[in-house]
Parts: sequence; C-alpha cells; structure tokens
Amino acid sequence: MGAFEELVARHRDKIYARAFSMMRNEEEAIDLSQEAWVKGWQRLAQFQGESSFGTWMTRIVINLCLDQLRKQKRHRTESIEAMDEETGGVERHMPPITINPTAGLERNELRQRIDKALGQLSYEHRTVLVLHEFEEMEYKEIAKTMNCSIGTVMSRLFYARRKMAALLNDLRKTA
Amino acid sequence: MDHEKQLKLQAFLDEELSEAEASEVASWLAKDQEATLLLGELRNTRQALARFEAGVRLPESREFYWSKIAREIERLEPAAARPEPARVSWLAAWRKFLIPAGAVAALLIAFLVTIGPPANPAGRVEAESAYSDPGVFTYHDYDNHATLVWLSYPAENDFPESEPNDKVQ
Amino acid sequence: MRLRSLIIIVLGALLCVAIAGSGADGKNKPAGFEVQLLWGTDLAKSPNPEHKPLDPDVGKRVQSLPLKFKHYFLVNRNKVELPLGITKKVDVSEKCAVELKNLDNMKFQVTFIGKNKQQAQRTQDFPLQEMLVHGGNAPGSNAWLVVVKRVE
Repeated sequence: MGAFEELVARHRDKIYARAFSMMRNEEEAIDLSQEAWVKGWQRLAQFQGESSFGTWMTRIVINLCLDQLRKQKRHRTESIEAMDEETGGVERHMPPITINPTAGLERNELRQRIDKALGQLSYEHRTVLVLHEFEEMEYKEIAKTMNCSIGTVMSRLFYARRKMAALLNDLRKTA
Repeated sequence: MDHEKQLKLQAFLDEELSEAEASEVASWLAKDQEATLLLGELRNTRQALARFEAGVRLPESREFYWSKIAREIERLEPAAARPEPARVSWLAAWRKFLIPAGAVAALLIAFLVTIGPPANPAGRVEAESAYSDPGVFTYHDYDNHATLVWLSYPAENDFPESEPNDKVQ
Repeated sequence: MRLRSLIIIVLGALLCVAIAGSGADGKNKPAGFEVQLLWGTDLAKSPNPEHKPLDPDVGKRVQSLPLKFKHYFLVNRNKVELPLGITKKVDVSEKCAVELKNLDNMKFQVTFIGKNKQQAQRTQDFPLQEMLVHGGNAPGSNAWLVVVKRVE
C-alpha cells in the first residue's frame, strides 16, 4: 500500500479540487475524494494505463459526485429559477460583456471570484461547466455522463458561461 | 441573434464543428460584430476558468487524509481475501472426525521413525518484522501469487548495484 | 455399520502412513529459489547495456503490482538450493543481500539486508512459483526490486 499512498499524495489535491468544484462543500468533497481513492485501490487491476492515472482517478471521483448530486436532487424542489435556467432565461438576451474578467486581477483574487460565482450556479450548469472546462470532455461525452441530449449539454454550457460572465462582471462592479 | 446561432458560435469556440461548419461560422464572424463580441466574451470566460483548480489545496494533512483511506481499504480487503468456508454435511463431518482420530497413532509412529523432531522448534508462526516501521508496506496479490514489500523512503544517493548511466531523462 | 466405520479408520491410518512415508523422502529434497534484482523505470530502454529483459512470468506479475513504473529490467539473477533447516545468503549487489531459511520446505524465512542492516524479514509459505518482491525508490524516479521466487 505504500506505493499507493505515494500516488494518493501526488494526486490528492487534484482529486479533491474536482470534487469540490462539483459539490461546493468541503466536507462532502473530502469524503467523496476519499471514497474515490478506495475505489481506485479496488480497481487498480483495471487500470490499463491508456490514460494518465490522474485522469483515471478524476473520472472515478466525478462519477461519485454525480451519484451524490442525483441523490440530493431527488430531495430538492425545482425552483422556477432552475427551470428558467434550463431554457436560457435572461442570459440568452444579455448583450455581450466586453470587459475581460481576468484583467487586473491577482490569481488568488480571480480564483475567489470564480469560486463564488460557481457556487451560484445550479448543479446541472456547474456540472456541465466542470466537465467541459476542467475535465475537458467533449459534448458527446458529457451528454453520456449526464444522461441528456447533446443539445441540452450545449444549452446548459452556454447558459453557465454567460451566467459566469455576468457574475464575474457584477463582482468587478461591487469590488 | 437566435439561440441556435449562439450555440453554433459556442461550438465553434469548443472546436466541436466540422470543417465546413467552422468555415461557415468564420465567414459569418467577419461580418457580424455582435457575434464577434459574444465569441470574445465566451473566450474570456473560458480563459478565466483555465487553471482555476490548480490553486486548490486539500485542507487536511497528508497523514490524516491517508489514514481514513487506509482504514477503509483494510476494512474491505480482508473480507474479499478470505475464502468462503466450505459447507460440510453432518455425515461428512462425522466421518472426518473418525478417520484422523483413528490414524493419529499410526501417524505418530511413522513420524518418529522417519522424520524425527521438527527442524524449527519455535513452531510455525508467521512473523513480519520491521512492520512496526511505518515506512514499510505490504501488498498481497492473491491471484498472481505475489507479495510486494515496499520501502516508501526517498531514494538514497546510490542504487543497490553500480549506478547505471541514466542521464537520459 | 460398525464394520464399515472400522474399515474407514484402518484405510485412513494406512493412508496417513503412506503420506508420512512419502513426505519423509520429499522433505529431504532441497527447495530451489531464484533471486532476481530488477530496475524499475519509465524509460523504454535501459541506459545500462548489461540489463536484460525479464522472463515473461516475472514480467507479467511485476507489472500487475500497484507500482507506477512502466518498464522493468533484469540486473542480475541467482539460483540457490535450500535444503531443509538450512540458511543461505545470496548477494544481490555490493550492498544488498537476501537471506533464505528453509523452515519446513513450505514455510521460509526471507530476510532482506541492505548495507549490512536488516531492512525487513518475512516468514511465509512458498508453494511452487510463489513470489516475494521487496522494493524501494532509486535515484532518478526509478526503483529497485528484489524478486524471490520458488522454482523447485
């Protein structure tokens, strides 16, 4: 297990970061990332090496997060806002924001703003953003993972990006 | 701009379009300023998100985080490794008692005559020393009949054999 | 029923005597081991021209271990015969050795010695083809492994 502990030490931040991006809760992210490591250990024999070990592990933690989010969704009531988000809402008609949100910001400050903005997205929109922007999945793969159509993936991603842009712009104004 | 066009613009940014479709979008962009601005916004957002996770750190110490994982692995592993005890009918169990009971005397005679006292008077105790050393770990692969004992300390300056000329990285 | 049970007991006793008798001969036959020193790396080709490829069985089993290294090369190999009750030391390199002790022709005590100090000792069953691998980190993000495998 010592060799495996070395792998955990090497990749733990990345796996935790992915879980936190999806769950937005530190304790849940820690628990799910640890569960992912246990699953990784159990499935080591299946790791063929066709992707990097880190990528293989992030897929495991993503699937665990998605399962957990689905369980939580069953207990959550759908808000009107959430339904509106699905169709695009006001963001579809918002004029393009021309100011670059990263301009003039220190890396830490930008990270804090993105962190805050991510927390304000619904779980579907945050998930599609994480899968596309961080996990670098293609539309087709995201659709399969989230069990929805490619069209829905595209709409959600578009909405998520525009919402992020609006939130980051608002944060600039209030800063 | 209708929603379909907006999504096409996004797909262009994400390189999800065919060559022909991408070319079509490129010529459209050359004539439509609103589309160009929207593409710029989408690109800025993407760039802002890039490397966001790189600065995230797990808020627990290495040892504490690992200890829970190790405990869970150990909890799950013995159950998987232990073979199921074979079911034995009551009749077979009864017979199994009789046969060895009857053979003990013959075995003892044969043992004393042909083998002599055991070579290891200490008995058959499986021991793994140096396992109080936290840097030493064991991994059993039952399927492959292999056991790994791994020293997790950093490499020392010299290799067990004469150092190969491994300047190639 | 009583006669039948008696027959079973007598047959069982004869069987045990036969096993004990054959066991006595078998226990005198020395156990055979191979001790191999391997180098683990991510390089596809070892920079040391004296390194050799692994035999398929050891190669396959070492690859199944949860280590990150992509390739393994054979540095050296030693064969040793170990009669019952005997301890033998195999020099793996200038600084490392393996001590093998035959406890009962099935159970063996294996001691890994590095720089004249005992690094780890393990007592376990070694049926034919059973393999024990002792390893650690080597410079340059590589690894050394000592493989102890019963071959006879």
